[in-house]
Amino acid sequence: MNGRSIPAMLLALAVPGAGHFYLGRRNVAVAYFCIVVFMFAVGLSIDGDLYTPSTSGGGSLKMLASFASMGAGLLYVIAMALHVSGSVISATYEYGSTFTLTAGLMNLLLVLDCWDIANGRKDPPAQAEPDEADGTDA
Amino acid sequence: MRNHMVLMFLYAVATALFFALLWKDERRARIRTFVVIFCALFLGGIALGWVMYFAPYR
Repeated sequence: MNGRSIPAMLLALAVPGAGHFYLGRRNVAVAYFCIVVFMFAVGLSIDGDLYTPSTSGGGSLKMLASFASMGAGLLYVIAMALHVSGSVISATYEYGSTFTLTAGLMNLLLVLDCWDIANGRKDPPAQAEPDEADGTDA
Repeated sequence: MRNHMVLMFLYAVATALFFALLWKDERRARIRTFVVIFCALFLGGIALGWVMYFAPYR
């Protein structure tokens, strides 16, 4: 296990794209941040819900939804602190909840991606170096 | 922002962009993946909606 994997995963869990930024993939890190924040913000703006374990009532599906929502990290914490919550009678409640759940799940995927990158399981395509192309040793 | 078609479009664009960046490293492969996922989500959703019109769930 690489020493950078745990900090990268924690950063990625806290802020979308921060793990990739830490690992040196800065362009995609900015893109990931924008996408996840956009999805989360759109979801909340159209009355999407933020699921919590305490309101899940022990239901399995709602527990999974809570896990997905909390995957958004600090975005979830900030939204909960601001008491942003959807209205179930809104016409776009389901759409909004889908957006917020997807944002959380995307961020969880980014956490796992950081693990793969930090441990060398996802290297960018190898660039042929001139010495290798010539078949000679440097 | 309450238009379902607009929301479906935004969702398809964001999701396709995310997975294109996550799964592929080369520019051409990313564009191809983006187009495939976007079409599957947006155009596929519209097509599925038309097919479901004939379902007897009224």
